[in-house]
Amino acid sequence: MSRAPRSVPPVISEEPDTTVLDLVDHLLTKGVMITGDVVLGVAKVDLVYLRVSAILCAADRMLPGAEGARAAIRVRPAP
Amino acid sequence: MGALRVRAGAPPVNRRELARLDAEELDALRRELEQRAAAAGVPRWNADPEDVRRSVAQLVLSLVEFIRKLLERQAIRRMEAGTLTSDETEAVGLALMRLEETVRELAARFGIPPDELNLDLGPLGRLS
Amino acid sequence: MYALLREPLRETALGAGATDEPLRALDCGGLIAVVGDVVAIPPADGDTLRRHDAVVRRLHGAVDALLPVRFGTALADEQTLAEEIEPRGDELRTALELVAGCYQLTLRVFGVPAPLDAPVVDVAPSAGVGTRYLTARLRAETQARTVPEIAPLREGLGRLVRAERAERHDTPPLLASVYHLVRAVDADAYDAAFDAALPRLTGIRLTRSGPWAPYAFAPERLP
Repeated sequence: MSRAPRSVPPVISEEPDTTVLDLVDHLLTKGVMITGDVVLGVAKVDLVYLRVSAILCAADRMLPGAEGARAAIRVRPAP
Repeated sequence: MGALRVRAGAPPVNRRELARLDAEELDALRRELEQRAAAAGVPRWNADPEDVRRSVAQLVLSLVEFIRKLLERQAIRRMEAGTLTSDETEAVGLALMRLEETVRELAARFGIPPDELNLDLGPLGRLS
Repeated sequence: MYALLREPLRETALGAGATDEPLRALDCGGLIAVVGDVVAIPPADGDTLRRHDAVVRRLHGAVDALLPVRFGTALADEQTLAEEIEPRGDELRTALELVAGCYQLTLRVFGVPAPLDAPVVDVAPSAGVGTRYLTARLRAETQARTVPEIAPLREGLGRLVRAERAERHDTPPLLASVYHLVRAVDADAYDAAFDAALPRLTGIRLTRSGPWAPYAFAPERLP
């Protein structure tokens, strides 16, 4: 199936203010989330960087005839 | 992307109901979005040496709260899907209810308001 | 990182990123990540966000299906990227299938909230405290994502809305944000149906912006 070439249409917006707010909403609170990092520190000094790669699954999907809701969480600290 | 026409050229009557935001509305929009965006960026937990106990309590309770929400969500899914017996539903519901009360009481004891228990753990963060 | 795709892009279509860095396409188990190498993520001011969105928009125009990645997503290396993406292949592919050939319209709803549903009588009178609690939580969760105030609009649009995501807000007069996923081929029909349905909304004011890449239709991270 061939696709007709598409031109990128301009954004419909009214006031610059609302466009910036849309951008903030879309870019900072939406979209695919990939990384999960937490930085721990004391007295405003960052000391520990944690890469939290968590694989969370519904137990009833993972365990056949699941007995309970046990989530499998794997946390790996940064090397 | 689509051939959605730019509406700037449309006659005023078409834009009447597509509201131009008044000051109050714009302000509400700004407050809401900036509030949520403030949580963006690498989440940090920083122990305040002036009140380490409170900081630790905040972190621990935030983590418990996070897990509680996760469990609650999963319990609701299972309840909806009918894969919990009524006894299980009752037991899980009761446990979660008590867990919520406990977190709230402990937070209050440390003077931590409920909205400080929302540690945004990156991709795990958007539960509330 | 800018976006996830399900098909490769021509080298020439990649172009440059928001800080003029050259973009690369990395294959992660069949899914393509479009990335640019940077020393640091620029601060999220209006200018930066605008440029980032422009990149996403350009990429979106060049492919059938694209998922924008959250701004500020940076990974140390390709290995890390693969580790994060490959386990989520299925859900990402499902999401890409959903957004294929579509764009997003963002609606902001202002006005007076409609009264909440009366307590639903779906819990047996003999139901215990725990069951009632979970039922109440279910109702609260559902209500946080429904916007009954724009029901007349939704009725008018019907299947022209391929998917909807909604969030209620607690900052009056802002009531809710609603995101519509619309097929490009339905653009004109959506426009017409939208205009026709608008007068049926009473006590509600609406703004609409778009088209955007499908920011609000990324898969949920959690089960």
